[in-house]
Amino acid sequence: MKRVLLALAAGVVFLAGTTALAQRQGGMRFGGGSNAPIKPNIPYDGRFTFIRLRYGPPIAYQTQRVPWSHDYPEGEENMMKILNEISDLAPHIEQSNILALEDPEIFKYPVTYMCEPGRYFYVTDEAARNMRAYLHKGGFLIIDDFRYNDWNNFEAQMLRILPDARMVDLDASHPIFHSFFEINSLEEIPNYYDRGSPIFRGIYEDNDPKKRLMVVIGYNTDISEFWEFSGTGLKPVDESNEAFKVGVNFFIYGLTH
Amino acid sequence: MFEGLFRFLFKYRPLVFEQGDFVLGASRPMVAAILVAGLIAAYALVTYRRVGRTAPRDRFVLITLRLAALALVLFCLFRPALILKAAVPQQNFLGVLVDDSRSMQIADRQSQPRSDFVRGNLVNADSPLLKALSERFVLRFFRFSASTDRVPSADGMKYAGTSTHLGQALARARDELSGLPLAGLVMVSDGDDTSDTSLDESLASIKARSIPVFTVGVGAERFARDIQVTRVETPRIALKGTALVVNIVVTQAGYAGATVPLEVEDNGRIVSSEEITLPPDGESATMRVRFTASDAGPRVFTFRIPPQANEQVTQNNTREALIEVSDRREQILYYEGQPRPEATFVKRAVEDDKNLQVVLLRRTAPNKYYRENLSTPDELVAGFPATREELFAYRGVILDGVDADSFTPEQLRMLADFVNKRGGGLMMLGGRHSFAEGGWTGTPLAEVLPVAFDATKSRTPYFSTITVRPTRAGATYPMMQIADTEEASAQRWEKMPALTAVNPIREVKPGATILLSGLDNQKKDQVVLAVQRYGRGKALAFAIQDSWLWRMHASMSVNDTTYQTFWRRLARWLVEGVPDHVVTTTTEDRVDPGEAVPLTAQVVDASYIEVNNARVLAHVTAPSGKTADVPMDWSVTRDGEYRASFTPDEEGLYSVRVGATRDQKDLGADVIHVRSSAGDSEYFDAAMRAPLLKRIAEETGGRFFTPDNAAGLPEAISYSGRGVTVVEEHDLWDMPVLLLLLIALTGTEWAYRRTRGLA
Repeated sequence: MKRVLLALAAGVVFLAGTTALAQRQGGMRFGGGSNAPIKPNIPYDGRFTFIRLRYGPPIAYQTQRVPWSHDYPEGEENMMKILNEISDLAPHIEQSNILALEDPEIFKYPVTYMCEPGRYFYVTDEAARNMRAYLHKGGFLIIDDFRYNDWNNFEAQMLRILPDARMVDLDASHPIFHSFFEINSLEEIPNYYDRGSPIFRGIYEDNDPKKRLMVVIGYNTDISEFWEFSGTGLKPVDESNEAFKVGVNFFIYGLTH
Repeated sequence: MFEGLFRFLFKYRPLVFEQGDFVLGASRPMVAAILVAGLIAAYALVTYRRVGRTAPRDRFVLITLRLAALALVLFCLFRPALILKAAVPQQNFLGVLVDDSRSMQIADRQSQPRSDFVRGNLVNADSPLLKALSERFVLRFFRFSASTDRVPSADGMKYAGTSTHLGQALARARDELSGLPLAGLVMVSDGDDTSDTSLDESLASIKARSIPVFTVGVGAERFARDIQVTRVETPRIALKGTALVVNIVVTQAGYAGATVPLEVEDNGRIVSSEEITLPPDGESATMRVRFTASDAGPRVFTFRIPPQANEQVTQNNTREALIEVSDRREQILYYEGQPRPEATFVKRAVEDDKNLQVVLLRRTAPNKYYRENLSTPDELVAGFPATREELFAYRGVILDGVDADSFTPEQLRMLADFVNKRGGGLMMLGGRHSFAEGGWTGTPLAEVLPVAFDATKSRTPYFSTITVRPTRAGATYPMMQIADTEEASAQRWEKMPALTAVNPIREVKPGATILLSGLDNQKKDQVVLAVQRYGRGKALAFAIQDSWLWRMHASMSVNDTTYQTFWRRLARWLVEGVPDHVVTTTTEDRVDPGEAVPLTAQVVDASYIEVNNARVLAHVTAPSGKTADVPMDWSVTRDGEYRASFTPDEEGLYSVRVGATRDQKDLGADVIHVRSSAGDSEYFDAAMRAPLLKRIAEETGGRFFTPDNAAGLPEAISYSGRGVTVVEEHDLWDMPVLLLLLIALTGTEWAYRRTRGLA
């Protein structure tokens, strides 16, 4: 399976990379990022759709100044291409949705993704209520891309959503690292920011490790950065490969647990 | 009153006219003389006609009156008479059969028990009826209920029989009195025959021997005030924790529109109590009660309406039913063809149900499976079962988003046989890989599923939101109850959020039932949930791709358990009543002590193929702990069917474990329970059944009596013409009615003449 993934990842890298580079080389980039226009959401149709959660106001173009939009849209597109190729999920590939934390539409998508909920992450009361209900009903939230002291704000905001939550470290034995690919060591997962292993934490239903994992938190790494740059050649294929493996496992786990 | 008047006018009872042959007793010379007199009279009339002074109308009236009077006199002169065959006194035997069952204690004869008729008329030596019968016949008494016995007299009846077998009683009396000159049989009963066998055979035999049966129906044909729990429809087996919805048929008289409690007890503990409104007099109404089978084992559930004021029969207010409540864990194989949210939500919905084990086989990629809730580590390790033994180990199968191409032809046949032969429950969920869209058209499973989708596959992908609502059938279906009461359930359904479908399903198979439906975006009716029985099993189509929205949707409260309730009931329904390798049945869950219990066992092997060469043994354990082994024999008429019977001699609960082996290999076992106790069927539909008693009398040449006209019984038997008889001639010329008629005719003529000035 690893060889297959490598081959597929390389293929996706090549195809997606040419497009991404072309985009990067043309036009001015306000505040960094792809500056890609934010595409309108597609209506719910039952197929798996990548949902990027938004905190703060909507924007017309992706920008690095707005953390939740980081890696849009290449990150999700590349991730969905991989999921489509190697699994039977058959997700939407070119289309993804961006939904506010307060948006009741999130309840139609049991797996959601949130990027860089660091120092600028803010949860309104309405968002806290909405997300709390979402997670308690059975939603699964993947959080990625923040580090250092940003944890403090993230934790404070998460506690607005789940006041009693305990965020505990996850090790490689957790089923989430074995839901599709066998990730036997967290050392295998690239750390985007620093040396050493990335840290993964989780929030369990009722803080009981025997119960359902509601939130997986990728701290001090940026998995989706690898998804985004997998097409540019800026990141080694091996590292992109591992990042995709983590992504596949997270999404499959979210759907099956 | 009528009979007294008749007898005064016509001299004899109506019976004599019915039984007798009419003859004219005049001799030939007398006839000749009468004819001559008649001719003279006619001549006189002709001459009378020539009198011209009289108006034609007067003449006509006077001639008519005179001729009628003349005809009357002539009729008397012809000496009319009735010829009857009368039984010779004390030369004939008469069998008197007295109903000795419990229903004879019902006090519906002016608040007196039905048995009072027997005491007053057949026990008391001074009673005119007994005297009259004794004078004419040699009496032989029989008592009957479940059995029939010769007794010296009608005295000493206990009226405690728990069932009534009229046919058996007639046959017994016929045999007992065969060879004797028999005038007939008298059957005193309320006609409440409780036997399973038809009366036809007994009646044909009695008729063939020309034995008239005179029935005396005691009791009221309709109760003035009574409530009856007529029927209770319960499953024989239920899984522990199953919320049962039981239909109860209630009949009443005298309490129309009254509100009464309907209680359900589980081995003496009240588990449900609902207020019900009684139907109009004489009509039946079906009530639904809900309760949970929360304790495992053989449970006796009692359904009761407490006795009401002035009720005539209170014993029929209660019905009992024995339900085998199973505490085992039923396995359902949930096969998901692609990662989807539904299986995850279903898993959560049923995970706390200790009696359900949903084994998840989730295909995440080609030939890559994620397995959960396994019984053994190797379970389903190679994917979907490849052998019948492996598949048939499950009791239910759910297919969620799996293409038909995912299965081999043999696996497709196995799936169809899983329902048809194994008797399992199969459900297909909607999705892009289900029904026509999943290539299931033309497969063996297309035949099994309750929906028709051959012609519905469209070239353009179908997608629609569906507001799901229960159909008329679904609104009362136990599985569709998502709240505590039917009304609350209906209101809850109104608020359930819309779902989506990608399979346009418009029709169901003949015999299938649509439980949920809805209008789609094209305003067409979409079948959402349909069920049907197929072979030994059942199939369900749930043509929706995201019922999990009933849990996740923004409009659903976090604490709402509707989705959980719905899926638990759906999953339990799927495995409810799914047979094992040995299935034992009996006709009744209760018998009277001494009554045989017929046992039937269906035996199949691991592939659910009927086995005819098994060794099948019923191990019977009596309430006292005494055991007995009863071998069961192949019935020959049906593959895999074995029969035997045993007769309980103790009161209480009997346990019967039927085990089957073949070549020293265990095929399986089943345990059922049977109650041995006095039954109360005598009190149900206990009004006197006059039609049945009349039929017995009419078909045998006898007559039907009630206590009011039973005084005519001796004469009726005497003139029935059976036994040793003599011919009796009864003159009719001196009937008072003839004299009165003659006086009336002549008086009328006289009055007419006076009025018209003709005399």
